[in-house]
Amino acid sequence: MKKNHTLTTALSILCICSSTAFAADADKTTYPIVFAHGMGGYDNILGYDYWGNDYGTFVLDPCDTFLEVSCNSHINKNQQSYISAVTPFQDSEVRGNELADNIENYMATSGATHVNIVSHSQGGVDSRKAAHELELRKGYGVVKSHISIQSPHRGTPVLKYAYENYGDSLVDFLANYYGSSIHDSENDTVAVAKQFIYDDIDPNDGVITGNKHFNELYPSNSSAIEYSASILATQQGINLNPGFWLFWQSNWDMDADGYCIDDCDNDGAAGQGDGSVFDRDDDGIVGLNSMQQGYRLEYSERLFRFNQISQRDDLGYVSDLNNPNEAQMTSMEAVFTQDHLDVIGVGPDTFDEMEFYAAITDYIASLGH
Amino acid sequence: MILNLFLQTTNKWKKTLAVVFIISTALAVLHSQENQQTTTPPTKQSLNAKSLLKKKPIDTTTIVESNRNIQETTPNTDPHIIENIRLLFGSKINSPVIQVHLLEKLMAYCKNEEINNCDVISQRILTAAFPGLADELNTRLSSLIKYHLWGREQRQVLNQLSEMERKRILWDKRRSLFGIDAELIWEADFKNEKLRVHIKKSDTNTQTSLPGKLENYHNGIKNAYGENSTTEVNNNQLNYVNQFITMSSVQKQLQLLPENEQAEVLEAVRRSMDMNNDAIERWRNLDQERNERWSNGHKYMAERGAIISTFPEQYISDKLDQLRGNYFGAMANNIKAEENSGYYRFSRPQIIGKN
Repeated sequence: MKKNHTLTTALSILCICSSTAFAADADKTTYPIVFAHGMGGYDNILGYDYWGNDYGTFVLDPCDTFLEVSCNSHINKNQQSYISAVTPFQDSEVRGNELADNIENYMATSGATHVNIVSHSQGGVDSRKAAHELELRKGYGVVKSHISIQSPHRGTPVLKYAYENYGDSLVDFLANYYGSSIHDSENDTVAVAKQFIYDDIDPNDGVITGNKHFNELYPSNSSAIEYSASILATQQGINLNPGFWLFWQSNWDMDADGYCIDDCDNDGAAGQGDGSVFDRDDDGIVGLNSMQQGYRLEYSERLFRFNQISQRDDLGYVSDLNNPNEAQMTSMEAVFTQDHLDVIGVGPDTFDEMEFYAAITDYIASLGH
Repeated sequence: MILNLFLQTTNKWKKTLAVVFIISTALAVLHSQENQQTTTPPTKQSLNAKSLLKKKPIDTTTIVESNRNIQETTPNTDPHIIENIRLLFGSKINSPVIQVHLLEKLMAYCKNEEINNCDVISQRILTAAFPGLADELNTRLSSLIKYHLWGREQRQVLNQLSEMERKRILWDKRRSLFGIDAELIWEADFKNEKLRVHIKKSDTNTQTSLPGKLENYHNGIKNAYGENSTTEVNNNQLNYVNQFITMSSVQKQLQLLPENEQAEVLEAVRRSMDMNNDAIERWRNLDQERNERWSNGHKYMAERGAIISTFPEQYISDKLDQLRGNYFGAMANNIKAEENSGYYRFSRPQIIGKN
């Protein structure tokens, strides 16, 4: 009965908010929002599959035509946005440069002088490179806000596991998760794997790779990016998207909610485990202790009311990406429950992408960006 | 119903979980000594309980506790609540898109709050809120739950298929569950797919001139988006330009043109997407800047190669630092960092009009 009472109570909230539920709830941002996708990219030609709800509608598509219903009713009809597409499988030096090109193109098209970036997964790492590249090209900091979602800023054990266990068949292994497009010629899966192993995995290959080195080159706090923040989400193993089941079948799961500087347990990501492997300390691809850059943001879901994003000051600001403090690496505060694919348009799931990205838009607008 | 679907799966471990689930449910029913007839979905609590079973012996207390919620009954269908659902969704409830939106809201809430008999509760709420549409909404709910289960079960299989095959199977499933409404519910995907197929077909035609291809491209957009095609293009000008100029048949023709003719073609493409004069001017400057960047970069790469092949190893690093400084100024350190990671930006292909 308790649950039914809860549902009844929650549904009662409708009377308070029903008149605004289909109005534009998110304020328009001053500068356009650029979406930077993660590893793999998407099928759909305009990127709607990735940055869409489970029905293919772009998350910032305003309802701007007569009787339109396949749109985001929370978005201001004048909201500007752009979906960037970069090479699906490349390291973040390459992809960051491509993202910078795309943003430059968008600035020429729209006349915008600055942009905000909302990134998912590898897109968060690409974005730091892109911001630095753009600053050098333009002579000023172009990126106002950068909000990364579930990004592996300090590496991921998944790619080290894949790199070490699948070696030459790495492409085929990753194709299980990302599909056959991985075989396209411009992709370089080995480069991707090396990028997201925290330390330089092979000191003898003549190149310096890994997140640690990349973070030193492209920090999140600099004149290139005015405001950096991150959204963290994790999911307990059994509830992960079945796309991650291959790892489960091989009885492997990461332990990613313990603290130490650098990759002290040599699992491929900074930090270590806390000894409890099957808890909610990763999203299937990225561990908790890798996700925070800048401020940590909290996503509050409210049934039939406009959801909100807020900044968690108590967890501080990660300015040196290679040296977060213990709370920033291990605290479950403000970590919402979703796996790596739920927050993008890879369905089916019951996560409301429209409200999530509307809330992010509203938050950026509240910063004056 | 959901339990039946769950059991239909061929996945071995899920079947095992299902068996454990049934046993745990039976224990719960016996324990409560209630003779309610329940149709119980696989619950989050029970799945969690099962995950514990992998690690330690069966703890029946945990399982019984976790299944208590299954005995839930219908919520209070207070007229006030029902009225508010009508107020929120009623004006557009005939739209399959809005119907699915409402159903997903209820499903998401059940998931977040770990309500077990969500389908039963939702059906009763829907029947009370929209009696005239009760059958339609309940059928839709059933279809949606089936689609979710199928999608999660097939994710990995679908991932391994070609893009075309994956889309075909997805659409077959959507149509089999939602009929003709599938094209409304997945309207954006439907239109986009229509355009994607059109572009793919157009790209295979290597005989058509660039103006002909551009006209054909716009026809494809109009065909896919109908009367909303202008708004669609205006909202995504850059992506529509990129989609056209990165077609391999278009890019090949662009690459063969001298710089001034490339500029003319690019301007025509951009204007066709309603870019205004200011945007055209900004693009003109950017194209020119980029051509200079590439030209500069190619010269640098040639000189770089010459240094590496000419000088003894101990001098190369300093020589390259000096060379990068000369060519790139403030950007030199960035270029050096890229090279240290194995990336040579000027060795990658220039895509005319894009980078």
